[in-house]
Amino acid sequence: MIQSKSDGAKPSPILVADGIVKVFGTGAGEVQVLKGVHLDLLPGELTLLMGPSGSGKTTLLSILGCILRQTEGDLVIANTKTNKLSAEAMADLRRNHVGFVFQSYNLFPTLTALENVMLALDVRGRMPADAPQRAKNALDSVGLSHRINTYPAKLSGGEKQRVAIARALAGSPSVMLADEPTAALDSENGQSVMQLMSDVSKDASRAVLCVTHDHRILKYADRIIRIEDGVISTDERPKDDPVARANMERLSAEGAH
Amino acid sequence: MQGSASIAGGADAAAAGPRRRLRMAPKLAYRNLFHDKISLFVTLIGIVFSVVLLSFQSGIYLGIERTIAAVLDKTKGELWVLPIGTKSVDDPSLLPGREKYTVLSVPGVANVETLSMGFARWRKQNGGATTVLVVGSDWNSGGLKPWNVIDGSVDQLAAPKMVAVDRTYFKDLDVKGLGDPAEINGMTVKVGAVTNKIRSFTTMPYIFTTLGRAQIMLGAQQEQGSYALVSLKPDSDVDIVQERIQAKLPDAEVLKREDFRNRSINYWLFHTAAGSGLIAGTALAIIVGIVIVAQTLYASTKDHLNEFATLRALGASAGYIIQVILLQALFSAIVGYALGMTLTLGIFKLAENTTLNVVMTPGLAALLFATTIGMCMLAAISAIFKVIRIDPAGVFSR
Repeated sequence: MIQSKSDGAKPSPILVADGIVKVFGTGAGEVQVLKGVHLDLLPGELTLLMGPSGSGKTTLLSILGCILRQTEGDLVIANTKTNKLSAEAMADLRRNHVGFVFQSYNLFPTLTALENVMLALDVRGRMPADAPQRAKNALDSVGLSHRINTYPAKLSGGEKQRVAIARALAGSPSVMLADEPTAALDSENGQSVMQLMSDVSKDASRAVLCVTHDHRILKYADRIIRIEDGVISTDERPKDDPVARANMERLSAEGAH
Repeated sequence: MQGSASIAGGADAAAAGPRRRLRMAPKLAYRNLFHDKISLFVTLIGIVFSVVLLSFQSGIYLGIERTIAAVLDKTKGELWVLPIGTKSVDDPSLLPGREKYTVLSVPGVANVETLSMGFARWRKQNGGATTVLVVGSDWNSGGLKPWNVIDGSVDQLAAPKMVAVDRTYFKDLDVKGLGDPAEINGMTVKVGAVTNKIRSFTTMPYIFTTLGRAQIMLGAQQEQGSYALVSLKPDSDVDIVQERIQAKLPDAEVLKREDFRNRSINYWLFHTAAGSGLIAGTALAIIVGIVIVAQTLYASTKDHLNEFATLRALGASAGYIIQVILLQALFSAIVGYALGMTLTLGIFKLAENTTLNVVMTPGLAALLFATTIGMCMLAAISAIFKVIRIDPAGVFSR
């Protein structure tokens, strides 16, 4: 099923983060990593979350992915407020609405590409009878139909990341969160993976957020959010804003060199 | 690569269509287990060691039980009259005498047979002597008949001087087969029948002969025996008859066969060091098994911690992850048990013709299988505690 972006009214956000604060440690060792982040993710958009090391990107990603709890603030995913959910309810929310792509792929070395994708379906409990076909389709959609029975050790970095994307896609998540998906890849594979992520984001029922340091991939972004010292410093849509676009093109060109 | 058309799909797509349970957890558990061959080898060594040790302890226990109760199990009487203070069937002394006729006068009694048992000195044909346990009975009238006869016949024992010996004790008795001579308490005897696998728990060989000959060997008077075996008439109440006999024989003890069987087994197993040794060995086997399996499962879980964290991040429930760990333990148990039991049966086969009576039954094998699985499941607890405390946020680089 293809749902195209609406040209009319602004779609409702799939994810809303309101006033997110995260504090690690207590007493003298207390560190406030996030200091009140407001963020919503819209379907059909590829959002890049950028910022210097230690700015709170990964912590924010973990909170948005329901694998880390915020100290303060509200998080709503697919109309579900997460604040008072139990650990198992959070896991349930993850498996039904969130797909993850990790920097170091996090594939299971003892399972083939197909089995890695099927595992993501299996953790959902009862699945459609066509689950193996669904997994094959997911791998086909990332261009790996010829590698379904290959173990991760025999795949290139780019292929591994494609399997990871297929794994995230197989569960048809509302939100896809990627942590530095191109960091371990060469330029060609990085561009290819980002093109794939961009394609994935075109689904009008899904929002995609990538944490990245990689300026080479800015051109794929529908939206760029910068975070500094635990707060969002800029939130731009380069395709709608000429100044932002010019800035993005400059940074992108610098990244290419 | 295909375009976005094939990539797109709503979040509700997965909910459509018929449903069935996928089977990835067993596959992941199996692959994790067999991925690290050295770790698997160590795990299996631990389980095999435990299975063999447990099999031996329980096989010896069953063997001892059967050995101790062998004479009791081969008799027909429902009640046994025995000297007061008798601890075990093979710890005999002599009844005062004439119990047979007293018991026969009790209503409900159909038949009484005297069984004479006692220790005697077996003088070997080429010099030297050993202690034996002489068993005398009139099997023609329903007494204890030697069983497992593999050479000669029970009928031959009616001839003068004849006794039956077991093949297992040929070396101890310095005989090689039928016709070989010896002396019991000064009386010349000859081997008239050879039995197989009638072992004695006390290691003193059983020597079977007629009641009259045994009484002479043991210095008993005529009509005096160690036990009186009482068979009841049909429809007789065993408790009532037991009370009646006891009332008539205040200088003897009257027990049901099952009670005397239990007393004999309990005496040897729990009033001597034999039982505590077996129990300690069994406990040791279980502890060693649990410790080794727990250590290797824990190490394996630590090795795959990032994968379990990824599973958790993907939304796997704690139950799903515990299932993977338990399946690893189950697979270890199945493979370890299969190897251990094969080794055990081989060793038991080698012990078949020795004085060591080790027994394996389908029931015991099933019990050991269940114990092995339980042991491995118990061993998985430490790994489960480790894995349910995983922070899924660890999958992201910070």
